[in-house]
Amino acid sequence: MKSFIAILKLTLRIAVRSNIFIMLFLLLNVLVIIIPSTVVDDGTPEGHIRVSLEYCLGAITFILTISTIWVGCFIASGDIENYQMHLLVVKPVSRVKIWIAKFAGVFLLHFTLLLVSGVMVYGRILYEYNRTTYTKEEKIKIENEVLLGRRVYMPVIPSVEEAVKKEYEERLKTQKDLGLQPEKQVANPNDPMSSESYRELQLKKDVYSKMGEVPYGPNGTRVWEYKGIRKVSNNPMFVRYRLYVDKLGKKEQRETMGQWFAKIKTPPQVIEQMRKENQNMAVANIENVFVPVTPYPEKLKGGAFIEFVLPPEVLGKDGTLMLAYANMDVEEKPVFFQLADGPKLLVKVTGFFENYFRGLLMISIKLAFLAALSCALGGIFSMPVAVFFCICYILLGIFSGYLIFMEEQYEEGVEQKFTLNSLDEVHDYIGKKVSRLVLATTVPVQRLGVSDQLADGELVEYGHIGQVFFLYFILKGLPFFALCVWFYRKRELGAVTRR
Amino acid sequence: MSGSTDTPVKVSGLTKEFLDFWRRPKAKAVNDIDFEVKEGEVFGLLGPNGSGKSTTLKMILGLLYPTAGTVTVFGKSPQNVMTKSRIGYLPEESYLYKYLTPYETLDFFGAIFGLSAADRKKRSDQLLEMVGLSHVKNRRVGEFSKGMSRRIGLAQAMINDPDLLILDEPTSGLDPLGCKEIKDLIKFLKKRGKTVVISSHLLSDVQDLCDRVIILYGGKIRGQGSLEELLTVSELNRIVTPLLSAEVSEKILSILKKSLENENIMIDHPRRSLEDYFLEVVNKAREEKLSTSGVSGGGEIAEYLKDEGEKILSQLTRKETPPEIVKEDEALSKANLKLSELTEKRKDTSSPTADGGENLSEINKRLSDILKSENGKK
Repeated sequence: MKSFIAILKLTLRIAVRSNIFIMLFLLLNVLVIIIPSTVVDDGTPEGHIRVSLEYCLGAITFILTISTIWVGCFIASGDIENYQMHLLVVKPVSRVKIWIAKFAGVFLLHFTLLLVSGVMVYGRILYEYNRTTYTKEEKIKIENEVLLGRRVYMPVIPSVEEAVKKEYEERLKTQKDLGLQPEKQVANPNDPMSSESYRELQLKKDVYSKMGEVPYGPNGTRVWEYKGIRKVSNNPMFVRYRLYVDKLGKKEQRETMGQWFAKIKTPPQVIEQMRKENQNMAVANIENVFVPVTPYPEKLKGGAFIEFVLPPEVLGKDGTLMLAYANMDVEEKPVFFQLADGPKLLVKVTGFFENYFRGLLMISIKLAFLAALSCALGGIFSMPVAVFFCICYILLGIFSGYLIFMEEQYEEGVEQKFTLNSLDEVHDYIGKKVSRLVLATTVPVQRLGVSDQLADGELVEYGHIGQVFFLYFILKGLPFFALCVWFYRKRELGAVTRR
Repeated sequence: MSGSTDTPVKVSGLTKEFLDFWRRPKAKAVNDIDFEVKEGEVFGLLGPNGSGKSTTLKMILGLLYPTAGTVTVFGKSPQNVMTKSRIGYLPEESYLYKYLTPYETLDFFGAIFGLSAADRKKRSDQLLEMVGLSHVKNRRVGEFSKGMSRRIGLAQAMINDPDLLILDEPTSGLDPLGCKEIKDLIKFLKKRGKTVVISSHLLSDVQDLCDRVIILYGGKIRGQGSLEELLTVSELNRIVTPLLSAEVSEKILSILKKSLENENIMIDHPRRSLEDYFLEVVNKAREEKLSTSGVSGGGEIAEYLKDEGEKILSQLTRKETPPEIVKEDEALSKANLKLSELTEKRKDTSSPTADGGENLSEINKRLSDILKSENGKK
């Protein structure tokens, strides 16, 4: 243990005395001071706090990510390249212990920096919040939307397969009604767009876009269902959404009109009265009723996130909730909701301090992973090569994640047929397979960021933190680190030549 | 692996071939060598640059793995972690952490050996005193000259009081004072029964210190044995006398010339080495307490090293009756008288023999008898 602590202390001493620590400390300080004063927000107090929090924390995470990779590779490979390792490995200490101590040193250094800068960001956000220029209502809005931890529930997505099938049948029916005989399309080997899988994909994309569409008119209402909601005392619930007017895309968005409704169990006296008034009404139809939960008429800004508060009473005893949006656009245009945006149902679970602490915990797992990755690669490669591989590792995760996200978004359920109809198809096929393999074996580091979550007041779940730690660090990370340490242990350190 | 647990180093059929990226042979640095370093001896690895000395040392230390053959250190693999607690190593260059101070460096390596904080402090202080760097113990190593770094390198190699000390070019970068201190230290360690392996191409170092050497060239052993065996020139003799007058020198020469016809004979003054002269000047300066920002003092063996070799030390420091000192002038005049008598007598009674007169050994014997008898009387 003495030798472990000695190497750990040495790692910290080198980092501090080589001015890495001081430089990082100053840089992080400057960022925390400058960012909130320079960021462009949406003009609202809660927007300012949100953007300040997201950018400050994002910038700190980014700087610490780069620094962890750099310092990890420097500490692990520098000792070998400068031959200091010659003095160390001839002493009674195993290489595995040396590696673990170096990793611990790199992590501890960055964890300390994270804690210090995290406290600074926290202080800065509270300072911004306590500015005297904000009214009481504005402060309440900030408290409700940013400075808290809310559990996120996404609406139940209807079966895409069924929707595709239904859409297909509808299109056939339309053609039939118009007196058109549907053509039997034959796949043209030279035209990838004529393939069956391509047509199926297009149909699916259409269905997805339709699923988010709320037309204007008699059918201009869209309903979302939420299940498994856990009620937390009488804490308020929030709905966070973003709609696009007329078309998807942030450009040329304008204000629209609309109203939100929540389905509640109809009060018994109302049922009684309705039964009296209309003897023929089915019981099922009057057991529940949609009640407005937002004022009418309300102007809603297209392309921006909007939140409103839901009273806890709208939540069913079985933990279900149904929300509906009625499109009342003055120009009678449809509005669109993106699947990724929800609308999210947010239930307050904890305060800002605890959620912020959870966020820092998540970032520290990311730093631990990166410290281990950089030390692992630094132990077997020279510093430039190790840094290069670290960056490649992260980029591979980002690109593969994006490719698979796109596939899951639009191609889920579409049968993949490997054909050599065109080179593009071959590329696509190989790209997807490689991406899946990469994602299955590596850690998508980009998924370990939480600054946007914290800024949106979304709860960083302990379960998620545990899952990330176990799945990414233990299951995927450890075997890779162990392999690298094995190579490091077997490496002939005496063969390294100074260039 | 075979090898007695008491044998500090045993090398058998050791070969090291360096391969390129495609695993093709690039160079054979060490080629099937065998040797054994015995306990308590100072063993030298000699050879020109690229002869395989450092590669052999690195295999002994476990920094390189043999392509063929075996190395055992105290009967175990060089990779064995526990064996390493008995080894001290001074690399060719002192690869120290430049952001640490000498004290922190020694404290760090002491902790690696699992020494307690108190032990580390005691040893570090004593070692810094020993290598003459106690006055700069809080300066960073990165600011030091090569010689000063070497001294810290040596100190770190001694922190665990090793049974086997491996020194790669130990005097490289050191001033003569440092060289002498290192040599003294090695001699002291030898007296304590420690084993020392030295790799060097500075022959004077090896000659002064080593009991046995191997000479490597092209990765193979080209010569080996004790220095006694290797360096004694049995065909020549050397006579050292106190200062002789010109007359006496002439007489000796004439005796020798008579006896050794056609041989090259020369009488001159012996010269002390530059190292001896340098040490004399520096020691004088120290006595006068002149200030320096470099190495100061030092050379005094660390107390903890002494403590553990108390028995040997007591033998070393035992007072012995010094031989009686002969007054030089008196001895000289008597020797001259005897020599002149001898030469006069020979003028009268003998003439050179046909084969060149008395042989060399007889002349030597007579000369030494004269000197001995004069010293004995005193």
